[in-house]
Amino acid sequence: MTTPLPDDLPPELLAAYADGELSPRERARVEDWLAGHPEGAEFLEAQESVGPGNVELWQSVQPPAPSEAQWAEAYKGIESRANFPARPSRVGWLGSLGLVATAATVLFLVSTGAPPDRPVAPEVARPVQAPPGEPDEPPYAMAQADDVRILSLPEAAATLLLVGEHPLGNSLLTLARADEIEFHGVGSDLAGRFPEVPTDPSSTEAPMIWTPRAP
Amino acid sequence: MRPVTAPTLPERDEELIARYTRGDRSALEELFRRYRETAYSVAYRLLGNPDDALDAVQDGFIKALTHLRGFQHRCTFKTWLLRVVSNAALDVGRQRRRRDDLSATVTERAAVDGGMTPAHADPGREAEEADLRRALGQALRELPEAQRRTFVLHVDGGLSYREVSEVMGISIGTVMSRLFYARQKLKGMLATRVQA
Repeated sequence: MTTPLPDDLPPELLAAYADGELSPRERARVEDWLAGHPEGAEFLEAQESVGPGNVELWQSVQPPAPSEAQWAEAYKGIESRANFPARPSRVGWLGSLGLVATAATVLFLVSTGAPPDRPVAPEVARPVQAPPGEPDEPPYAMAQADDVRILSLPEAAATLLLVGEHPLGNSLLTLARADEIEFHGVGSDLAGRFPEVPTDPSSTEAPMIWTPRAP
Repeated sequence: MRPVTAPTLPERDEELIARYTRGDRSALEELFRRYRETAYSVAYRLLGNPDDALDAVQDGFIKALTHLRGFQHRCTFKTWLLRVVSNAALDVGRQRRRRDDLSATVTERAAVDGGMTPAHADPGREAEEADLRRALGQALRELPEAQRRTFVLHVDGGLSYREVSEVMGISIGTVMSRLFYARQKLKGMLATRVQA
């Protein structure tokens, strides 16, 4: 293609013209230009010949189609890793990360009914072993409301606790709302570990507390 | 007199997604059936390898569904899915470039032997089409990644300019420009193989 590009019409308008993506006014502008510049037909032809309007071309280069068995296998993989609400990730989270004791002593949820001004007795969660044959861990390790009993947190961490919407954006698990929580302090777990709270207490970018992995 | 029943309209994507988030597996299956071919076509055109394309489709569906918050109905599910699938395909492509590259002939042959279905039963025609498909694949691989993705989303994904601009986070003018230059190059590389 040796013809120079036209310099009095944005060339990309030819692509949009070939695809029928122009407004009537822009379309008329291109047609006027083509009428006065027959050399522009070469560019338009290139746009049309490898554009979606060349149905014959695209039909002849369709990808080899997967068989039904291959589609079924692909779907099976998707279904097994899709996060259905009916398939909570609790066991995988607890079993794989060993955060059980941390969950027990660090935390509490006011929505459980404990009055905020009354000391709350620590509860100890027991490690949950993943049963043999448990499928692969879910890609995101997260706690559910009943995995966690929040006893207290510093006021500075108010914006950083499990408040708001979780990153997956579905009903896989339920996080506390701001109005369900009051803060009284933070404690360590049975192994003496503290949750890692982001250092900037005014940050609203960190919606969660991260706890250390078990060694 | 035969009873007359009103035709049933297909369930909208939004309704399927709502059912999916309530744990309804049949909704997921319908979403997959609805978009699997388009997603595969986009992934295949970006990768040139059927097995890798299927992997990208699977990966893309999983990511699209587990990150539905990023979707938030600001665009259609199709554009959201194709965005994720095309990203997944480019990731797969980058990983693949680290491996020894099999020739398109070998992979396509293996695909057919391994269960991929040719477009039709005429062996001569199929060979011609496979040849053209390889030439197109080679030409596409020579395009800059941004042009290739823009082109594939429009042509194989069936997305409008506005939808492509949403998927890629670029202006419609940039979509137009990328498509124009991509086609000029493709036409030059494919030369006489392609007629308007």
